Amino acid sequence: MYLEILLATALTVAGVVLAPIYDSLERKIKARLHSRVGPPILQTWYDVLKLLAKELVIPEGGYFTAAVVLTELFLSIALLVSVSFLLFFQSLTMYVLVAVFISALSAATLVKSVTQNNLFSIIGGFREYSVVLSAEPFLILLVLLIGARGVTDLKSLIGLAPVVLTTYVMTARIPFDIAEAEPEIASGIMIELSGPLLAANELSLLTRRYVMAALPAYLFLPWLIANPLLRVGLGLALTLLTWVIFAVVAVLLGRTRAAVMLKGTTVAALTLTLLFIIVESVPYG
Amino acid sequence: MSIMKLLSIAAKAKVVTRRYPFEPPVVTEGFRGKIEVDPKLCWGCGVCTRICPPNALTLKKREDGTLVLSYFMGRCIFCGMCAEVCPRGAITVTKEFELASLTAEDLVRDVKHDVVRCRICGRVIGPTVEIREATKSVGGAEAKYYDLCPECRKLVVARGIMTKVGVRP
Amino acid sequence: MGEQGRYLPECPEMSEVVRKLTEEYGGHVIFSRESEVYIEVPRHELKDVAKYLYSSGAFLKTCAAVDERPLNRSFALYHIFGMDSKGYDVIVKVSAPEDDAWVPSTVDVVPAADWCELEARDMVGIELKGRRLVRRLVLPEDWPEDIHPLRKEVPHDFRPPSVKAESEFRPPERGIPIGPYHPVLHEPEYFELLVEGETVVDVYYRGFHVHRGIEKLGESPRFTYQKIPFLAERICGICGFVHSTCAIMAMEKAAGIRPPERAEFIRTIVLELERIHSHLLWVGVAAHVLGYDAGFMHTWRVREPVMILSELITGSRKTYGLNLVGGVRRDIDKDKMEKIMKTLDRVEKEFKELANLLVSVPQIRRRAQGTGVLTRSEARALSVVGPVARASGLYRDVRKDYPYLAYKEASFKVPLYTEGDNLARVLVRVEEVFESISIIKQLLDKLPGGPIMHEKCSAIIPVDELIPPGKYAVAAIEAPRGEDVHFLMTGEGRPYRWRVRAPTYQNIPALRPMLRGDPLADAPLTIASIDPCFSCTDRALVIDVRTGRARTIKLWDGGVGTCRL
Repeated sequence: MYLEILLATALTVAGVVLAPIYDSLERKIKARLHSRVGPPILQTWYDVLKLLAKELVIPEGGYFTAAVVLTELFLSIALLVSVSFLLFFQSLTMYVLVAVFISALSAATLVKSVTQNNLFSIIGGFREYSVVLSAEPFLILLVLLIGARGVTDLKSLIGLAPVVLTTYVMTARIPFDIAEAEPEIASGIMIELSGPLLAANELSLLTRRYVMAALPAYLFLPWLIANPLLRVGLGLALTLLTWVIFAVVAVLLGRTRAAVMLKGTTVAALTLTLLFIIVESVPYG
Repeated sequence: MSIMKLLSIAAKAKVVTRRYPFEPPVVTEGFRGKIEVDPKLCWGCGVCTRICPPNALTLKKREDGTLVLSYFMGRCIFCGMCAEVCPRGAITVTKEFELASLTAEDLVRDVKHDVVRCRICGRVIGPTVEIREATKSVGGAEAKYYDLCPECRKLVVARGIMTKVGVRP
Repeated sequence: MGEQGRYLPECPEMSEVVRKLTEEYGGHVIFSRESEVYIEVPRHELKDVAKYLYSSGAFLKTCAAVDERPLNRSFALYHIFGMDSKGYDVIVKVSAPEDDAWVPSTVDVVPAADWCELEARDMVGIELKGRRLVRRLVLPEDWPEDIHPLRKEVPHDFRPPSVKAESEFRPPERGIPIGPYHPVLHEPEYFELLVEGETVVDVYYRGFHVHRGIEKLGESPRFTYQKIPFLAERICGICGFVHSTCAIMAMEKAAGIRPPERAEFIRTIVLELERIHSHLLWVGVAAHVLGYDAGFMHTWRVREPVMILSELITGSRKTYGLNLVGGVRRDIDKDKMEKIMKTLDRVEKEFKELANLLVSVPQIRRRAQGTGVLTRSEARALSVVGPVARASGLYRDVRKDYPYLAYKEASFKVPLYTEGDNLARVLVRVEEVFESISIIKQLLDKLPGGPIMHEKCSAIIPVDELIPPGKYAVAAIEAPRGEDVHFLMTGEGRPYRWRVRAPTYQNIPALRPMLRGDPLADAPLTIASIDPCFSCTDRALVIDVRTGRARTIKLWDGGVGTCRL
């Protein structure tokens, strides 16, 4: 029991520290695929620290925005904590908690975008809304399904497909970075943020990405691997692997358009989720 | 999956960016950078200042009587026209382009020229080197009038002739 | 040839136009040359003349206003009509006495005249009669009413007193500002998009934030014919060589000299190199706008050897400084030829691979296809140029229509698409890269020997004596972005009037039909798809298309980060 709590706590801390490092790694991978040298492995940490050292500028009428940005950071870390504990404690309550935090985090992002006094941010907010709508309901459903039934059979691994798809969408990587879409709406939802606020925003985004990269592994591992230490090791390794795969996919694609994305992703996520439900409901033997 | 071709393209191309400024810059043999004026060759004639499109080269008269050919890199467009027209071949185009500096003064290169003043009226006639060299090439009787301005020279010559023919000036 | 006075050219169609203009509209020929004829018509006939010319196949290249008061106490407006299919220009001059300075507007019959007329009003102060929308285009709104910068009495370094003007009108709607600083516009420029949901319903445009007065500078005592090529080269950071060559071609026409063949070949080769790097740059930017940064980086990687090659041949990656009146300053030797061939082979191979990859990316295909559509008739009415015209099924290419320099010596095809959408504009440019590579290779094979500079010209000899005052010349070059036009009226030792019409000037008005009805997400791509070069164009305009009323917006209204809802 104590060992598990200790391990979960260690995993949480590792997540916060590793997320920016993995982001640098992603930038390095991207650079290699672009035939560039790319930044050093601690670059994102340098960036965050530099932003933290800048003066705090609260956007015009943006105290609420600032508050929401910090809430978002808090929620993303809370999500990381709950997901880390998920690896060791499989009560339905834990799964519900994860689902609630995922949902709350998305809500915070939306609130953040509409509180900013800026057209681009509002457009970004609406786009974020469509991204969330097309993936999040399915992800939450999947989390709850796995929590309620457990993974009892290898055929349940088919659930990995919708989980990976929806978690990828939730990371707001290309082609789903339309809420940010720098060349179109000039960084959209984060246009008014700078300095420490931008650093907080960056950290919460990266923590969210870390959670999303960890989630496929963390949802299935506890049911398959008994040894907690092995679980931790595999969990860390698979998180890194998922992150790397996500990074490569993001380089291969271009940015989509809100209308196109909403339809395509929803249809794909729905189909895969239904498939999972059908497979799960077939009796053994 | 034709989008996967990117992976093979990237693998073939390898890394092409460089760790500049930690590695030396690459410029071709055709590159034109800043110019250098050789003060030993320059006569201060100012042909280059007349061809220079952005007026990066200027010829200034200082109060102390010296003439200064001033090259301001901040305006230079590195066209090299000055080097092409310099009758003395005093201007060379280098390959240097890293000219950033903290002060504008660092971007100025001056070539100072002493001037010859008319020994009678004291007016500036031209840069010493140019006058001296020009005198050498003319030689003979003309050479002794090198430090006279055209007006005074006319006077002196006229006086000489008048003395010779016996008229009192 | 080139004599003033009554002169009928030998080309039968040209003489037909000349006959019609002189006999039916009371015009008289003031000057002509093998591919240009200058006809002055009475100003009340201008609209009919413009209508006749525009409906008989002419495109409007631009119009140029000249302050001719020191010469004949009147202002003049020159409309340059290009008979693309026949390969000659008809330049229609109208005069307006200084105390009654107006000309009739032709914008009803020639929509393409919209901008250049307004520019004539701003810069020279000619009033436009019969025009519904009269507004400032180039000058900022706090510029003094009665000062027109291109009038001769205004010094080239004139600075108006600083005033703080408040704009009278504010847009009733709230648009989405794109610019003056926006990640996808690399130059200050201001678009305001009115959207319903994510659909663009209308567009406002305002530009000319970086108007540098280069035309005025060229007329000033600061410059001579010898220095103007270097000034012209700085009109644009991408197609600088186009501008310097075009200005020089106008000057050489006025001087009546032709550079040696080898110099013409070298200019053509460098022009095509410039097209290659410009198109590669653009393809990269388009990929970036669509979020496909891998395409961006790799296109620019492929482009880099072309830049290095330009540096090797000319001495500089950009703003080559290669051109002088009468020829070029650097030769291409055996060694350089080999290097060009080798580089081009590599670029061709790598770009082929890359272009295939780019169009296979689903997001690029889906977002470029069917967006930003410009129909052929809209393209024709606005006389759009270059890849924008060719993607809308309009066959226009100066290299074919008015063969200049060494283009006659190379066989090449002009890519033509009829869809008029963003994808068509991508494909036109991609194909043109390969055509340009082929042109350079052909020209290198045929490169004639001989000098690279006309015997009467050099860096040291001033060319002023060669170019007599009072001559006219129009030169056009197919720049990477389309037709670039320079109009020159010679003066004493420097131009009396030098009018530069960059391709983007002609293409920006086409953005409104292109953007309307499209998703907001694709608007930056559509704006980028005309390959806008704002420093070439720089001018300003705001129109309310719904109410048809002209109005102005302050630069900072919505331009800065805080745009209130």
